[in-house]
Amino acid sequence: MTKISKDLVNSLSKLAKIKLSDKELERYAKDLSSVVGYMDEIKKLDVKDIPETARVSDEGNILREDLVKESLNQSQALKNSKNTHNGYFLVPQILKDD
Amino acid sequence: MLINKSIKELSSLLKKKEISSVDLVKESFDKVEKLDSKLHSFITLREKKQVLKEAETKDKLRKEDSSIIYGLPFSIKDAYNSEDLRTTAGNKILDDYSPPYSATVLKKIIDSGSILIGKNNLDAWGHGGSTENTDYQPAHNPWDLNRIPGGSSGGSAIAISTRMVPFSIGEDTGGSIRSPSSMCNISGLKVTYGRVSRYGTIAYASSLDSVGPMAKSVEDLSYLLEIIAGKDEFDSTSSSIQVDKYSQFLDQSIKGKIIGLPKEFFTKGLDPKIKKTILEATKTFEKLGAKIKEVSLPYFAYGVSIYYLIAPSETSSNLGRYDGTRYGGERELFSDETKRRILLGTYALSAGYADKLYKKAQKLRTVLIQEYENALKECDVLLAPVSPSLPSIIGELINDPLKNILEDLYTVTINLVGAPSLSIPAGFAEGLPVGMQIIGKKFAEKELLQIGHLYQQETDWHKRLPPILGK
Repeated sequence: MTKISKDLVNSLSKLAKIKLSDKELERYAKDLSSVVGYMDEIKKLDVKDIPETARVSDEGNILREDLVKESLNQSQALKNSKNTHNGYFLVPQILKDD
Repeated sequence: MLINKSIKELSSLLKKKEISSVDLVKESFDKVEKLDSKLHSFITLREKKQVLKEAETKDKLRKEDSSIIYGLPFSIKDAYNSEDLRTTAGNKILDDYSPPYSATVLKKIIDSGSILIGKNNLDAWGHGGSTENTDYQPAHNPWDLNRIPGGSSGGSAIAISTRMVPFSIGEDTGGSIRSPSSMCNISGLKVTYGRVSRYGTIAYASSLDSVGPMAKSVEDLSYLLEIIAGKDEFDSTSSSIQVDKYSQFLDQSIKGKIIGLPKEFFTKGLDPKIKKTILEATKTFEKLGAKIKEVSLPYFAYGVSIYYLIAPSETSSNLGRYDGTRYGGERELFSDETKRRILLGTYALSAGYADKLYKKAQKLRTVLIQEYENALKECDVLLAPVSPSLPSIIGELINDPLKNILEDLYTVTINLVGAPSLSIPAGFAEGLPVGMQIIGKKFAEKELLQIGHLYQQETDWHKRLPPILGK
């Protein structure tokens, strides 16, 4: 049966950008192992020639004219942010100063 | 109790000035104030004074040709953006979030003149089938306060079941309208994918999410669907197929219709008391002239595995936007169940596993679509239970993640297929409501509503009130 290790949960949590405590890592490893273990049932199914379905809408591509229309104003757009500066969102630094 | 009346009756009484919107809004708030401390169906209530003022305005401006829902109070699942009204999705990340715009579905109902009372409790982000996975106190089933109301749209179902509001709007990604409708003895419609705009819905899994009405009867649902369905320029997956006048076809005979019973729903995982209730209901359909036929969906049993690879994958991507920068709090505030689903989705999509898991699930989704298509060639609609079990005791499922997701088997495949499904009361077992779902071909809402309506003309399950309302 497929098992999810604590190390794997640790790397998944980094990919998902959610900090987890050691206790949480352990618990999620156990929880995910039981769920993913159950999903082993689909391993035996042969789906080689079957196409994938990503969407069930029959609408196809929907195109529209690229027109400038009224949108949210600056204060509406910024009203829920806790970090703004001169009318901009303030985001965490991603480049290091050298 | 005015709110026990149908939408049609309420509208007619309002237009004749025998009752007022002020009366209805007062009754709504009285009920909420009296009961909601025990039930937790609302996360946010609007300010009563403000709402009453709106009701007064509606009473003044009402015209003979006003919409049938003009001046009626309603509620909406807290998964929809509501302009300048707190929208939490059931999670503390959005505890102080005040959206700058409203969802299309909300806008359509408000434009038709209905009066919003408040936002209903839910499993955070739609992640759950019990309305326990909420940061705003677990909700309780009005038929037995120790039990779950179903979910994730549990708050909406409770509010209707206890007649706090005449109708509400839910959201169904894997059963979230049907499960609480079934467990709280109300009627709820999961529409065909694309029938109602998803714009402004807080996304759970975008290829599965559907927006639908919840109400006391199928007749009420049909009026609501006429108002909320249709193409929306803000949702490219909303369908341009014409919206029917559902309410005008309700009384058409269903004589000769073939109702399929998919045998995989009736296996040993199903509570025998529920099975008995559903089979009893088939007799009423036969009395109405329908024929019952057994059909088969061989891959149905893999539904939970397929769904719980696809939906968490999509949710891990959708919830990636919550970074606390533009709005909302830190990602560590995600609830336990949500973290589990994000991790599961991240796993299913990550390098080395995506082909074996996510892509395989997408292929199996194709198989399910074909199986439903084949079954619906042999018959007009399918009839099935909504849940394999009666409402569980609060706390029972939340501690067992696998058992928790297995409870969703009867609803999730229909979202994978994109088909519509109507959940209506079918009877009671041990004093608890049992619901059944009528599943149709894509865009066959008219047919589902007809069948459900005629059933409700022959039965009175949907009229029964929970004991918490007293005699």
